[in-house]
Amino acid sequence: MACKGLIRIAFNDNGFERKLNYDQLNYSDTVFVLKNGLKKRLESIHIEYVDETIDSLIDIITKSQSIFTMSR
Amino acid sequence: MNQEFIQYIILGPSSILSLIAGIVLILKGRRKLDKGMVSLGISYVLMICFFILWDVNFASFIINYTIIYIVYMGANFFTKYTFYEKRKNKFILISTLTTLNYIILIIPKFFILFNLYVDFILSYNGKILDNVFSITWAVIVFGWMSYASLNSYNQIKNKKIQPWVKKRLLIVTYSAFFEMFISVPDLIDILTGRIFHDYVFYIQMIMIATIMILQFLAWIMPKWLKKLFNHGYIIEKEIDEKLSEDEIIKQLTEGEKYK
Repeated sequence: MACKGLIRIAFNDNGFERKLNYDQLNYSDTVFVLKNGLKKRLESIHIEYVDETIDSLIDIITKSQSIFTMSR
Repeated sequence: MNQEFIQYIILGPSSILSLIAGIVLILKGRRKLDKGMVSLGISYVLMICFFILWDVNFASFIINYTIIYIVYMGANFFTKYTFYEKRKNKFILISTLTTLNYIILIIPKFFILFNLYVDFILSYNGKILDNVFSITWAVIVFGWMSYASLNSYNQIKNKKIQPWVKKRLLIVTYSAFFEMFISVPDLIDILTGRIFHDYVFYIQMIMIATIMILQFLAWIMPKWLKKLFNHGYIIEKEIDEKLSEDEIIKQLTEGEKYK
């Protein structure tokens, strides 16, 4: 729950609403937010293996990217 | 009932559904900046243009094949943008094969225009060749699309995503799969010496109508169908939305202790 919340905050940091829906997002924006917003947030609370975590999230998003179009 | 009448009865309503789906895809895609949706929408609309031109015998084969080529390229762009953005993909290979197939199919039409090799082109073997290339054309484009969407479905099928979204992906897979074989009845018709022409005609009409209805249901999915697909699925209340930033950070840093 807190992890989801942190991702929402990261999106919020990058100008998105906190109440997110897949259909409001696209692949490029999501990857941008993960690489920048979420990374900064994770670093600020001293989480370990930040780069690996972000890479793994991006890999999941890349493989499931059709969800952005399919949920519109 | 004659074939022309049946053609209107079957293709008319399904073409309207497909046209609506195409227009909605273009508008939605433009609003959401989704290039995949826009390209697929253009493909649907052009496909209807093809049916109109084909039906009234207004355009020559060259225009018809060129429209189909654009339709197929639109489908290729949809597959690339929807399933393979920033990901290793076969877009260049598929597009090259699509273009090559178009060239192979269009050259004989130019020959006919200039009265060259007409006997062979209109012969039994010539027609079979033309049909074989029409089939491979569709198989290349829609084979890639159905493979990509099925792969994507397998990626998300066990994830916590609303079932109607997964079903949409499956419907896209099915309609692409049927589209691969859209020209097969024509080949069967030629190979059997047109003995079963009527049956082949009806089968092809049903195939086209099924594809168009599936396309409509996939992209303009009615609310009742979404509800039906979502039956038994509990949409989790997003508790994390209500948490303050401090609460989230505290939970993450202190973990279980905070609970």
